[in-house]
Amino acid sequence: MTVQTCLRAAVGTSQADDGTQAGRAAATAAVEGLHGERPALVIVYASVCYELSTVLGAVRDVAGEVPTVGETTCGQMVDGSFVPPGRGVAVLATTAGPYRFGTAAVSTIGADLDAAGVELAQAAQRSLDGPHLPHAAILLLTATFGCDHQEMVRGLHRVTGACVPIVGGAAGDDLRFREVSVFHGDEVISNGAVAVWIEGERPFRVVTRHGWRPTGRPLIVTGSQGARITEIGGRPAMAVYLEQLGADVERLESEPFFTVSMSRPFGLLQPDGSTVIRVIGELDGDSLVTTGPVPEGSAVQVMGGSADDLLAVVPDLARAALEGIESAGALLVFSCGVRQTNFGPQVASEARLVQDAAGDVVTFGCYTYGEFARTRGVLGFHTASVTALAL
Amino acid sequence: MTPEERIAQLERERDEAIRSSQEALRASTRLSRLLTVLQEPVHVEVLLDRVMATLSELFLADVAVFLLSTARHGLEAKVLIGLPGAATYSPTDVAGSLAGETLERGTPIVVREADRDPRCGRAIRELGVEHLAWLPVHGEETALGVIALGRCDSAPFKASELDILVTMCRWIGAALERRQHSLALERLAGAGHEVAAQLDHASLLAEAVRLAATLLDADSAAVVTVDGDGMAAVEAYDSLVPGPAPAGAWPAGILGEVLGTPGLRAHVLGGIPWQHLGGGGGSGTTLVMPLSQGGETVGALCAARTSTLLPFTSETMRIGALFAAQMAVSLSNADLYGRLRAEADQLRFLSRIAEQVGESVVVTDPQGMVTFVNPAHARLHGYDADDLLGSSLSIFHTEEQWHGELTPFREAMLRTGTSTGEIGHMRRDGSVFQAEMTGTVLTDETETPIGHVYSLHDVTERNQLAAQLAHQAFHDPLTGLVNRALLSQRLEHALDSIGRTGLRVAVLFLDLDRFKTVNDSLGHGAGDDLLREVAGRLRQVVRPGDTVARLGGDEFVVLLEDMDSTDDAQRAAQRIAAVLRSPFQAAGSEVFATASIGVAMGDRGSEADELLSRADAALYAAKRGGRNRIEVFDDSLEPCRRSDIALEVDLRHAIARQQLRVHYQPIVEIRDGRLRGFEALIRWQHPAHGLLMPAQFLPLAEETGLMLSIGDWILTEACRVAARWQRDLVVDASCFVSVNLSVKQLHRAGFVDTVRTALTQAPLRPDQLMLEITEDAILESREATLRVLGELRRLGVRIAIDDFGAGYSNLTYLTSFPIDVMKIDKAFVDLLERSDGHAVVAALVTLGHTLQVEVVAEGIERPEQLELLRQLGCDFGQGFLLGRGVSEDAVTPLLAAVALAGGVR
Repeated sequence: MTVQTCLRAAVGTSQADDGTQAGRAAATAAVEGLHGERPALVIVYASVCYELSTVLGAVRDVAGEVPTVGETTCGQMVDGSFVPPGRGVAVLATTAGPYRFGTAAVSTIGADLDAAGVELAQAAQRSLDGPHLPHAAILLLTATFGCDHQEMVRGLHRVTGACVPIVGGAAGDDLRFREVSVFHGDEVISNGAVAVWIEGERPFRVVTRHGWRPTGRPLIVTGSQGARITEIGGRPAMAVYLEQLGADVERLESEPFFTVSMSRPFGLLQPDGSTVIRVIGELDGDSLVTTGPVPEGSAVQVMGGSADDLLAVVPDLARAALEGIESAGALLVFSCGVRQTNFGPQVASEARLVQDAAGDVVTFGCYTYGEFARTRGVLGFHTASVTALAL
Repeated sequence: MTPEERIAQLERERDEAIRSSQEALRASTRLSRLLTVLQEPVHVEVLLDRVMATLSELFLADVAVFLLSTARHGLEAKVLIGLPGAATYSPTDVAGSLAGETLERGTPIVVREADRDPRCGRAIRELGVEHLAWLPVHGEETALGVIALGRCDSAPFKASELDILVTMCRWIGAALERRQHSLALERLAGAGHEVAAQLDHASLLAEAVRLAATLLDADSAAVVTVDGDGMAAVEAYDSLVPGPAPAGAWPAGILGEVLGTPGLRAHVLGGIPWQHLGGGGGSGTTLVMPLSQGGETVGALCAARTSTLLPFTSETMRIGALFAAQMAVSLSNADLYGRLRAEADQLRFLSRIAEQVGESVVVTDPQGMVTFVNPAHARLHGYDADDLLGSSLSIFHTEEQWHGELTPFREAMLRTGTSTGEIGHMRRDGSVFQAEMTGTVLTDETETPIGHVYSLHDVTERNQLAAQLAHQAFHDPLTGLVNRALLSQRLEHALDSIGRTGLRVAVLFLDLDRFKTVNDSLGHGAGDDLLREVAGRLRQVVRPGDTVARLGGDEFVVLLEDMDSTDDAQRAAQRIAAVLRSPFQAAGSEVFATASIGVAMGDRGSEADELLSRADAALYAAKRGGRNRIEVFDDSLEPCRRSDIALEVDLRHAIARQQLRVHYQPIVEIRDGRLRGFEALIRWQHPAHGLLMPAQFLPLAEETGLMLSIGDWILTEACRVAARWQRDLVVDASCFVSVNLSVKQLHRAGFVDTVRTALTQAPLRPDQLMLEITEDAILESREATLRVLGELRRLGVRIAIDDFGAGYSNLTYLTSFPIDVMKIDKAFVDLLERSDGHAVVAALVTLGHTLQVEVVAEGIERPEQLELLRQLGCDFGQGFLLGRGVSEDAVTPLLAAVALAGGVR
């Protein structure tokens, strides 16, 4: 087996109205960009506006029987360009380079996401034949609503152990919040997950950033079940949150709650002083329902940030991801749909900033409903953040 | 300090204050997070997983491991966060030597460059863990396990972190111990149920020791008993480590002392008490829990730990004591159940007997409420057995029966313990029946009455049969009229009564003038119809108190009491004659049958026989006078009676003049129609009157004493002829000849010798001769008859009871007399096709077979009768249908043919 020292990747996009056309055009551009080299992995991002199986079929027609994964998104970023939500297909075709890719999927996930994570990780690892390379990472794409994604990360982590980082994103649907899907081979899977087990000779580095700043004082969550916060500091969670909004409370008079809460997420304080962001998705009585679990006893702070604050972390993210990797072929980026919403007029900036920082490296990203970035410990699910892995 | 410098200083101080407050917040957050997790009501395994995941998160640990201390397996890896799941690591691969060391020291051990430290396990080294902290987790009395947190980066565990971790480990230990305690209690409850479910003593002990070993984290468990001599023995044993079960007994020693300590619930012994049986020395510790039943220590449940030095904690002792107490209760239950089951088996056995016997059985409580009925009882009364439970016994009786005959019955039962009697019962539909019932007071082992048992059977049929037989004894079965015997009684009674009333008695003797013609032309059925019709008309024409009797054939007698004069009697006779003049319907034909009537008047002092004889003479005179006449006896008729004297003279010469004949009527096996023997029947070939039938001369022979010589002659002749058949025709040896005996014959001295001589002279085997006696013969001299029959039986001759059912039909003599064969009277066979007659014959056949007596039906004349008899299982039959009585000459070719065809079998 000849192991290439450099991975060659190419991307293509299309915003054609027809799924087949869009899929074919994006795939053709990506595959042709390899200049005749056979792709070892194809990643497909698509808007939910298409008949997804048509899109996937067209991509497969062009790329052939290549390990293919992907998901629905809330917009894409490809080679410095922003493909806004609503219409668009983006395809990455990549050679193996120094890596090996194994893919697997789980469908019909029940309540036990932990077990589904174990099954997915084991299946993905098993799909790689032959001797294993010393280092590994998992690319995880999920299509589940209202589930504790952290539980799935926990399941994956049981299999991978401490030394295999996890990167990826939860599928979006152009902020419609109706149905999301992931792709595996020819299959379009809703309520499932797909993973790529990636092995290589060097350690993999998953980088995550968010750019949010604390705007209030630290608070102790005194009542929560999973992603539902009932009490903060012994008081009803909603009341405390509204107090912490300060002047933004007035926005609630003219704007929907989610529009306001998306710009004022919770920061979950971590032992090392960092924060993991949890967006408040909805109100339920006096409780706050967040986009990820907030354990009881945790310390949280209400955060805030301008578009500039959020975009400021992007160059650093890209650089940190690429740091120390010679001849990187591609930079995979997963940014939150919440961030995109907060970018306002600068909505296209993130794609450009990523590409600017990546230089010649092919950049390929999408906007998601949650980002996977596990590097330390068990925690690996983030929201309103951006995460990246360079190959 | 410039204002700028001052501002910068203040900012630094502010930042430091913020940093410090954040640090403090993080520390407190760590504790609150852990406390929250520890309070979650989840299973131990889930709890440990969440605790370690939280620690991993709170302390930025790439590896978070929990190794649990177990009594039997040492350290067991329960949580391995951060270790690749696909890798297979033993607890040692994870623990290395540091886990044990941490437990021994009881304080944290921190390792730098863990990936290069040989004290660390292979799993830790391979993962590239840089900093590793091992922390012991203690319960109140023992170490519960050990925690390891590892970091793959260069950040060491700070002293402040370790301080927090030590605190956390204390909390974790307490929570784990609580959870293990809850789990132990849950397991205890489950084990209690499982033990309680065992209702067999041995199974319970086996299950208990199996559960005890698991429950108490022991390597083995046993139930040990100590006998009065201080010897201990293992009654049940289970071990989680391989090895033979202890057997035999040993001096109980310290174990005996422990068990003798009052109030002791659990005690830890150094050593294993039963191990020195195998010479093993018994290293380890044993938890001894006395087993008490009824306040007495009956043994001990013992749990032994041999593979670990982990001591039995006070909590384990408490659990063990609770389990032993539960077990003792279950043991008592099992023993009780065993006794009850034995009793129940016995009860079931008795109940099955009660259910399957034909006898009806009902059991009540002392208040008379039904607690048990067998199906026979329910059936007998028309109920379902289940409906009767809890009912009062009174539902089986009418109010009259309940307050009448049952009251003395029950009083007698309560007084003497048992009572027997014939009691009226009532069915569900209100119909009543008689039952022979025995009531017994049911008592428990202390003789305390606990209820009453009644067994009964329906005697309605038996009573009916008895009544029918009694009726039969005094009535003519064909017509239902009074027979000769009852007529004689009534006549005597009537004559006796004359003295009191002064009125006279009239006897009207009548016979039908054309009866023989009807019989011959229309058949016996028509004859019977005619006789029944005549009987009916006679009944209609007489007063209620008068007696109408049939003496046999077409002879009827009407007894009229309270007659003023002969004229009264004559008028009555005329009424009779008139009523008989109307045509009869017989077998579908119109028949005219006039009657001749003889009338005799009886006065005070008249003899009944004489009066009948006179009426008979008057009848004879009427017939001679041209039939359909009425003749009143007067002295002029006396000469008629004298003709009998002439006949007597002729009879005396009949033997010598060889005028007597023996005819032989075949006796056939009904089942297959085979010829089995013959009945010898006497005939008199009278030179003037032609062939006379027995009825025409035997009464005279009896009366004049000629019967003895005639009887002897028949006996000798029949034996001779039968012997000739045996000799000449080679018939089957079982072929027999049956000879009728008169009462006088039977009671004559030397009769048995006469029989013996006849047999010898013939010569005939005794079993080939059957002697038929009538019921009268038995009744006349019971003792003598019994003696003679006994001698005849010893001789080998078979005895038949003739005309059974025609006389008194006392069932008892069938059992007490040596009878081989019962011959059912023709009168019953005639009634076979009627339901009541059928029932009588069926009962008689069953009775005969019950007494192991062969049954012969006489007078079979129709195929229907034969078929019914076959269905009833009657053994033999004779009658016109099967063969009339024929002469010796006529029998010979018949027998020869049978012999040629394979013999008479």
